[in-house]
Amino acid sequence: MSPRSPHSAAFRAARTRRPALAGTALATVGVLLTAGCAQGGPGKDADSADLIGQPAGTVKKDALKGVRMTFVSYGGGMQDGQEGAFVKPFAKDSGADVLTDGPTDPAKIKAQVNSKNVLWDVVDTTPWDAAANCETLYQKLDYKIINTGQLPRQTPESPCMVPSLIYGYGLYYNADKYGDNPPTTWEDFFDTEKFPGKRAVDGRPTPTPGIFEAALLADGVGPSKLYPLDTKRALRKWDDIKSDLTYWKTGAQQTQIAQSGQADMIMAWSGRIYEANANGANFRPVWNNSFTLYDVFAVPKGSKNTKAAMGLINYALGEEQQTRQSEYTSYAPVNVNSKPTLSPQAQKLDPTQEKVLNQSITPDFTYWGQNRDKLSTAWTDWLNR
Amino acid sequence: MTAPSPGTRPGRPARPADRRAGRQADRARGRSATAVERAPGSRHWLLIVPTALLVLAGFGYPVATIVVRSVTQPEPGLQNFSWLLHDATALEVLGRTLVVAAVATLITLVLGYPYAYLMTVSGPALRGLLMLAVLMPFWTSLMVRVFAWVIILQDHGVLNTVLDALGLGRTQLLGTTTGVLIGMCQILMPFMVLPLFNAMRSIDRRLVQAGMICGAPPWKAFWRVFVPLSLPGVFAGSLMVFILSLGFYITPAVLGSPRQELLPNALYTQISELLNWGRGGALAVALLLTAGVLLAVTAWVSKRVTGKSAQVTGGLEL
Repeated sequence: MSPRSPHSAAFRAARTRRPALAGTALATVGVLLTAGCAQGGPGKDADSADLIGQPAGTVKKDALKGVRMTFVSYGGGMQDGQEGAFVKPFAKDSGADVLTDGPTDPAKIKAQVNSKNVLWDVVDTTPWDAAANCETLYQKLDYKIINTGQLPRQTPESPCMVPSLIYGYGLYYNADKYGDNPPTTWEDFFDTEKFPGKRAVDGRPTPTPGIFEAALLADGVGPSKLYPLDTKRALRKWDDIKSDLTYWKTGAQQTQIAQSGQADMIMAWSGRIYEANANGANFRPVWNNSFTLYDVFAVPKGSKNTKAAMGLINYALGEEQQTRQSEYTSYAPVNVNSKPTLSPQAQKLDPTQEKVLNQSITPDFTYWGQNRDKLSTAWTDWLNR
Repeated sequence: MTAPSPGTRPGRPARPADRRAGRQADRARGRSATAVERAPGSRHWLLIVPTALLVLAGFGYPVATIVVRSVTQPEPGLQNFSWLLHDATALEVLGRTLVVAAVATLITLVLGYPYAYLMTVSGPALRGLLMLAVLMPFWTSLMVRVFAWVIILQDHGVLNTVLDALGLGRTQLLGTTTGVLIGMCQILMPFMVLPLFNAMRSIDRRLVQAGMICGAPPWKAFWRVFVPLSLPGVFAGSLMVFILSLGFYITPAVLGSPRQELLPNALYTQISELLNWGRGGALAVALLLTAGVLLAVTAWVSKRVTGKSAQVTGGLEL
């Protein structure tokens, strides 16, 4: 051993330590990899005999003991409200262990379905997503378990979805600006001479259904003749007022735009205008040919708790549950018997009032779902032109 | 473990022949020391296994999946790339992304160069303060920074109020590419300043003095001596800022205009909203190729100009 080799002692020591080091390294990797795969692990699915024929909003006591399932929604205050309204009570009544996750992301569902490792059992999503991916990403619902008898009329139909909540989408205007001569139709929204001022609209590449419909209605197309959508004609109509437009990309931005006065008219979701008004804005709705929109419940294909998922949906549709959901989230209930206590402000923006339902339109979600690519490309191209 | 070389045994007077032998022995020892580390049976390489596996599982596998999907979904073929090359909007978005990244690089370079220079010439106290100012954003969450810019840039925000008070008039910043650039440059500034500072710190100032002694006016000594020596830092910083700019998602999503979409946002739409994983894959491959080509070109140019290969971190010591 050379006395000049400064490392020799260290090397000797290292040499004896080396296998241990390498072993530790490999063990760490092993632990990391197994930890990644160890989550999930469902119990057993429910017995359908316990679930069939239960009235909406009920579940047999302890019928789902030992079941472990996952409910997914859009997160934030909305999901908190849904959890308080029906997820936690359902877990308590049925004995199931209900986990929650979010936000809803169709790409994640696609990844789960493709890899045959579905971790989500009940998902709150959009009707166009559920309608477009029926039987590819979502499975047909079991209407022997889900009781739809108390759903309001006009609800969208697809075998893979059932409504979870209702909101309005339409034209809201600044009452302080337009005073005694407010806009009353979509034509007025597109008439910048009679009604000057900035308009805020959906600036997302995948717009909420209604964006083409509004332009077509303003251009004289009747509500019953909207589909299939003539996107070229609709975009020509949007061209007319392009210089007067500003765009929102999130619901929170709708509130902010209305509140800060960045626009005098806004095509927005009812709940977001409610928030702006609660913070001092003075925006009023135009119900004529406004759009009634829904979120829906859907069950991903390959869910390991199909029956229990149907049971949870049936429970969520109950009168009490929908009343609570509405009071906690400001979205309108999908049970005709639900009568949530709303503030006068909220009542004015309630899209389920009889006078609103009489003059509003439910977009064709199946059409939107099936033509999502084409409609999205048309809108994105127009935006970026 | 080398055997002691007779030529270097202590106590023995060195003769020329011995010295030569000693040099040879030294070289041999140098080789054999390396050989020890690489001797068969040595398992040092196992230490990189965790990192290598992490990179493979967390980066290699997903990237490979994306590349495969871009040519297999919805059906095998090149239709996704043909879409990309024929879709005017997709091409425009790609071009716009490159332009925005280039402008962001230029702005951070122009602002960062004098800043880094000041850091190298200032005393320890001021240097500490300057370092703190450039690193501060690093310690704040990206979301907080982006939303702070929303508050500053909005139509009735701080900046517009100041502009108005100065008589310059209000101008729309939030929801414009200018707004995106402002937000991006602030976030990217440390990635430019730190490599620049690192390169400048190691420049021997006496070289500039020597230039002046030889008759060059200060600006010329700076331009002909200092600037070329700082080029490795310029390349490293620019490359890092440019490549990071290509992948910005949150900043353009919050500060930008939907009418000025950037590639990462278009990619998100394809993958997460429209479930077009093939097209999303094609966009991702385009981004990856662009970054790869630029990396190669910059490395080549940098080698030609500075005679050294570009270190992406600029030998960064943090």
